[in-house]
Amino acid sequence: MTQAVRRPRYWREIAILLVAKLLALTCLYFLFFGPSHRPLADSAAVSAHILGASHP
Amino acid sequence: MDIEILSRLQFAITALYHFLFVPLTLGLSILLGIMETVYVMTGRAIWRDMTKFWGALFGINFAMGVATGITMEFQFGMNWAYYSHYVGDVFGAPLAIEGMMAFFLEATFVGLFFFGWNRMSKVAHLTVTWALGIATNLSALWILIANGWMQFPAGARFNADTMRMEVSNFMEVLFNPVAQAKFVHTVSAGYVVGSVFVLAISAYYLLRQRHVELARRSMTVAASFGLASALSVVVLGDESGYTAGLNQKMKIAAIEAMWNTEPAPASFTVFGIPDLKTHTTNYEVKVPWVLGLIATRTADTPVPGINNLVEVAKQRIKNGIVAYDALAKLKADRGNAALRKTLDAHVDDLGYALLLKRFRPDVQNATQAQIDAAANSTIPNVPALFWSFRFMVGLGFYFIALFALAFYLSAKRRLDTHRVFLRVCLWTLPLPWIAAELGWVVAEYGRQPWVIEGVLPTALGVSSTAPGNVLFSLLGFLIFYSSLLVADIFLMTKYIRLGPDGTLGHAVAAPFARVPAE
Repeated sequence: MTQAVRRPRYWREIAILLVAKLLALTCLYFLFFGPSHRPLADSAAVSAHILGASHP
Repeated sequence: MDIEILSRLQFAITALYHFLFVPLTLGLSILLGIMETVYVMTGRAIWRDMTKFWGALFGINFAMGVATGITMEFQFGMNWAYYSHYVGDVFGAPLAIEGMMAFFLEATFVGLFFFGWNRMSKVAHLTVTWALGIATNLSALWILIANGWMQFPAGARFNADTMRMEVSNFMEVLFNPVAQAKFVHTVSAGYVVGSVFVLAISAYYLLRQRHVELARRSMTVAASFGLASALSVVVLGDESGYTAGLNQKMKIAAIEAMWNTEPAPASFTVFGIPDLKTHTTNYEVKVPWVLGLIATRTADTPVPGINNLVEVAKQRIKNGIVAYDALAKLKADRGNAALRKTLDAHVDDLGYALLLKRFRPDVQNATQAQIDAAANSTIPNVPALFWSFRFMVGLGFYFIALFALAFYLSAKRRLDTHRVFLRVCLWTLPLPWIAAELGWVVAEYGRQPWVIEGVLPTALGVSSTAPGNVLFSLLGFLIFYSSLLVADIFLMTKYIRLGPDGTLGHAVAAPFARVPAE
């Protein structure tokens, strides 16, 4: 009986934890790692960085 | 503070913090394998309880290590975007394999280790424990292959079209002698950290006459494994010094505060006060021949001094300017074979020309004074390296003496009667971490001003982002990591104080009690 009561509670706690983690990761992504935060570093950008803006 | 200093500070803080957990994980993983092997061979339950107790402390440390390691992977992309593009083709592969080793292989065996005790046979669980140790060490191997390439960039060449270093020979990257020497030296240092940890905590129990049987056996294992590891650290550190002597001559000269080339074989400076202004070392105490034999393994090869290496750097900067000029012109005239040939002939010195970017944007027009300044910038922080190295080596020899004495007392079955020795063991607890961190300082701070030795100056690897972003995330890391440190110390102290009985939830088995055969 105790086991049967416990199991749904565990599943609920695991589900809440997973959702909380997903929300935290989504927030982190948009706050720090989204496309707007990514510095451009392709061949042209590195050329300009090393050789100067006139050498893309 | 500018973006370069902030990015370096952030990486240094996170790496040094992460490296508090890594060596203990490396050391404890092998010690767990040894303890469980004795359990399987003898069937005595006390060895199973020892494995479980030290395994619980390993688990806390492992979780902290993973949490603190992830952030560094993100820093490559966010703070070091130009670095990631410039060397990502070479650096990315071992870094990715390391991630997979740590998060898939290692983490899987960690799960099996903790939850498999009553679900697997003794031999199957022992296999899992050793697999955990091997996976942990393999993870270290791959990150040190990546790091070794930063010290000695073998097996790669510069591609002018993609503006990055690309792998030309993966086997040279894999079997990079610097990486191999660093790997064995670093994991041995980790074994010393693990052994001192077990030795110190066991000494704490013996001093309080708690868990005596478990503590005595743990100390015996730690003493013998620690002695072998401490000896290995010194021998393999010598190998690491030899490879640095071949490939990072400036680092060796800075560690020795050796300003001018001495007649071979060079002497080793035990003590001295390096003076950066006059390029001299005051109050030197020297041991003849030692440095020459360590760095060159010959009696007739000189070890170049800092001033002489600066002169070499000036010539390489001038060669690099030719390569830089050819590269800049090649960007406007991609089909020009003569320019490509000129670039290929001088490309090995291209990185030296990039040192001039700190002094002027149009490298081709650098004055002699700017070339001199760029050449002088190849000198790392001599006093920091000089003293970090000496404290590290001094601690290395201290560990050999400590483990040798512990081994002797253990063989004579007199470990728990020497209370002074037990106190010394307990107070030694923080020292292997200090030695490991100093080793990291020597290796990485000694690489400056390069992020990739001779290829890419650190300043050019940093992303063009706002310093405020890096400062904000740096403060975030400081808060987050400080919280983790408090949690780690709290958990470790709690379970050490609880002892094996409290941690395992039952009394530790009697010394000669056997677990029934399955």
